[in-house]
Amino acid sequence: MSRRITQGVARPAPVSILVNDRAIEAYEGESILTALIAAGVLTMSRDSFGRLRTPFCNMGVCFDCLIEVEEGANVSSRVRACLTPVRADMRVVVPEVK
Amino acid sequence: MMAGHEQEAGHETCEVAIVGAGPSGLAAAALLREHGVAVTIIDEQSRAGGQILRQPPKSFSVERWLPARLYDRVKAALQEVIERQEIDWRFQSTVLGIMRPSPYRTQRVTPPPVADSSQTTRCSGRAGPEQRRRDGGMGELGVVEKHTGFAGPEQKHRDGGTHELGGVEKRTGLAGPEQSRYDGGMHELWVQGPSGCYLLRAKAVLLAPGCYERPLAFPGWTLPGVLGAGAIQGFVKSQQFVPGDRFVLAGSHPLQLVVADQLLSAGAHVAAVVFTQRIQQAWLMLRHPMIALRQHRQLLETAHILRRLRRAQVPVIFGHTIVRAEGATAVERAMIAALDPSGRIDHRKTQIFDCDRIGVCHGFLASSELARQVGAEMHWKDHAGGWLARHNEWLESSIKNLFLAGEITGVEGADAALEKGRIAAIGILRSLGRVDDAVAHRLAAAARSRLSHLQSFAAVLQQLARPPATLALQTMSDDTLLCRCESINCGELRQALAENKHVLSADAAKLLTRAGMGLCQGRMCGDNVARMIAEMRSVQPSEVGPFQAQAPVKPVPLATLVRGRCG
Repeated sequence: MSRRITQGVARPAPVSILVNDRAIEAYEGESILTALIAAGVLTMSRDSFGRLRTPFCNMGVCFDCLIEVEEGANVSSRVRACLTPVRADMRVVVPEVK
Repeated sequence: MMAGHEQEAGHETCEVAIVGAGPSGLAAAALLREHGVAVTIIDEQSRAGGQILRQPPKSFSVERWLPARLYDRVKAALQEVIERQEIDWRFQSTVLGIMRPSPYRTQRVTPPPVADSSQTTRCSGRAGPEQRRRDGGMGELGVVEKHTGFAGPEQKHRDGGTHELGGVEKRTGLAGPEQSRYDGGMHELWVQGPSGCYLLRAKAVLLAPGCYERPLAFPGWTLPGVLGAGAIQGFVKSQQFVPGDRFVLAGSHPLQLVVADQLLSAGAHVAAVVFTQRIQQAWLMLRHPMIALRQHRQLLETAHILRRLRRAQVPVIFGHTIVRAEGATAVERAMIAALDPSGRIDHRKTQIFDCDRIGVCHGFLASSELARQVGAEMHWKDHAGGWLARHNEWLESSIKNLFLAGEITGVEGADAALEKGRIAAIGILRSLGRVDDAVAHRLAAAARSRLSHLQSFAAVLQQLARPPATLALQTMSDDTLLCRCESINCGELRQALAENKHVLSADAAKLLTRAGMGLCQGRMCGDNVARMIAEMRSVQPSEVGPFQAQAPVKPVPLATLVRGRCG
């Protein structure tokens, strides 16, 4: 399992974000990708053939971590999870994988 | 809704725009500020530092962040500028294109086949009015094409009104770096920021976009849990997050050792570190004793890491390559195979390691898309980062006031990037008339000397860190996914190439198969596509060319365009 390093690292108080209606714990400022992987989510979207996409580069190049995010009253937008910081009460949509 | 700096008109003007807040961009910014030049820095990340110094989020505090000495010099450069309020920082922002002078690209010109793999290929430089005055007409090859200039007010003022709105001007293609200088005034950057898109005009632009990992396509590489080694490192360095439990690192680049070490320190298990090189190749360094001596710190650091890995009983395996990632829904095992002395995979000699993450690291590709999109002259240098931008002694590209620094002129590491940033900044001072030629040369002397030493080390490292030339061609079995975005298999491209003998370029293959047409715009598959075409047509990858780079160089949601009222 993945895990956050805690020794010598102070994080702000945890916040909650919704991933497909499931609440997960995350920290403001960390990338959404980190929060997702920490919650065991490794597939972020599907390509046009339905194949699940999984992140490769973690630096905004591969676009394999493109997710849908909704915040407040904003309509959903597609962002790269690796470049987008967590904010409290975000709603993230990723493919349902059993 | 709009941030303060985003004006109603959707246009802004700055003095120098630096694309990329990594070592070279930061070093350039510091030097430009010393001379009172206003600097705007644009970066996709949330904080400065680039990939080498991916900082933790501002909301975190980390006690001992990157303690290793190999980061000392770049950390000092970061420290020098990080808190400066007078620098116009624009994070979480992507430069989608350089809209002037780029819309007037010349037609693509494919050069004659050349034996030297570092030859220049197509160029789409432009000659502006001043240029034509200087060389008395057109460039030698006289490829002439009409285009409509759309000059802004500054531009008309600067070059005496030669350009007219909607007017027509001749221009020359295929000119040399000096001949193709465009002097049409301000550059125009199309930027996607947190609150929308806008145009940013700049007297000079410094492209310092860095590089990314050259992906090796092999069976199973799209299984969840296969990542770039640098991606794993980014999680550890910046997010203070270990993105798995048990790691196999496989590739050809020494960065693997650093990542393995950082993973161990973070408490992760490293099942194996696998190098394509045979151990004998490491002695290459000894053939360059002076270089080894000058870089003894880095070599010592490597020795320390190897000792720590041995103490932790991590197998470091040479002369092997990853051949397969296996698992039901995510990585469960990594299969490696031996390479014979000629670099052929011996599929009879395999080993399997249980793991939940595989980090692959086969060198780097320069982020050359903006340079290509704007039409700067490029050349191909395989193990130095693929397509690189050509430049003069001031690191100015074939386009006037478009400067280059860092890995886009050759992947040579962070310390070299610092020096390139300084030299480019002095070049900008000189070009803007802030210093004269003599002063510029004097200012640049020390950086040039340091750069030259660092480059000799980088050249040896590049030789050392390259995988066998045919490795990708061997791992790309027909059922291996080639293009992650469009789900195109290697076999589909092979078949398309076999059936369409006229297809000689990466772009033609893209039109035929859709490989490279997806969201990443060919960054992940481009190099592999080119290698496959080159092999099947018995030419160099340089002759196959990169995919055409067009604005927006990264996909942008329509909603963002609408919100930003993009001009």
